[in-house]
Amino acid sequence: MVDYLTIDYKADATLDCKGLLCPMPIVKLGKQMKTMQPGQTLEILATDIGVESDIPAWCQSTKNEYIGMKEPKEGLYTLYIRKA
Amino acid sequence: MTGDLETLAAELEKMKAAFGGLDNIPKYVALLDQYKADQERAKKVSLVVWSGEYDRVLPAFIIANGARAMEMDVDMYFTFWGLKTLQKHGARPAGTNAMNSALHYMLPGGPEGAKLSSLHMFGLGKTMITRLMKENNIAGLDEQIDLAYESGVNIQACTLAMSIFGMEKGKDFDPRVQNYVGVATYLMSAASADITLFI
Repeated sequence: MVDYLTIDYKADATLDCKGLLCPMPIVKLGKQMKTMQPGQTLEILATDIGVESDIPAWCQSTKNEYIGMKEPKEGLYTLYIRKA
Repeated sequence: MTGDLETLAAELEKMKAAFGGLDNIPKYVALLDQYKADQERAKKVSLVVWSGEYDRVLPAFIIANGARAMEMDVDMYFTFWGLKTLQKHGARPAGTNAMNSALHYMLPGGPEGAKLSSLHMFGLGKTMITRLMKENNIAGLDEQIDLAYESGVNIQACTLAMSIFGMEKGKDFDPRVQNYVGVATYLMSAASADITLFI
């Protein structure tokens, strides 16, 4: 069972991936992270259920830190990551 | 002092036992360095795209673009029917003889000419699939191909298939295709890849 983030997290930037499907959320994420500084945090908003597994996998592959995901509300997934 | 030397001697004996002699230590250090380097280096994906059908080429590009986003290196080796994916946009190769001219006439190819592997139904099935994709806001094959060129996927055309199909470097290909290679290049790519697929 997934442990959802319960606190309201303040991120340095937000990436809107609403309405995008595989593989576009991680493609956009890759581009966005290139513009960010190490230590900065990013909030990702998405509607594709695949992000729940894909964002942690992306973080694992690119050695960035996956912080967690809020409980999905009305099909909206909110995830947080930190640039390594 | 004597006590310290005894401790040191005991430690050395332990190390000798662990490494099978102290001479072997550099070998283990080198192995550890190699392991660390392997962990650090970018993962690599090597795809053979043999099929030319829309529903096979599209997932190949989705895998490639996903891998680039995950900072993996990607080689895509296009051979046989897959080669038709790389042809110049909106143009049909003339071919070099009656047989391969007829082949290009019967098989338009390219993202716009690629058929479905099943339920193509003279184009009706493809129209439905592409409309469903559009309704779901899924990037089509042409967009995925553009993305692959932009993101640095290494796209390679097989020169053997080029001869069979009578397709010429430059003339019949998308100008973004830079690599015209043979099987040795593919094998070297696959040998150093972490993921290989034949699509």
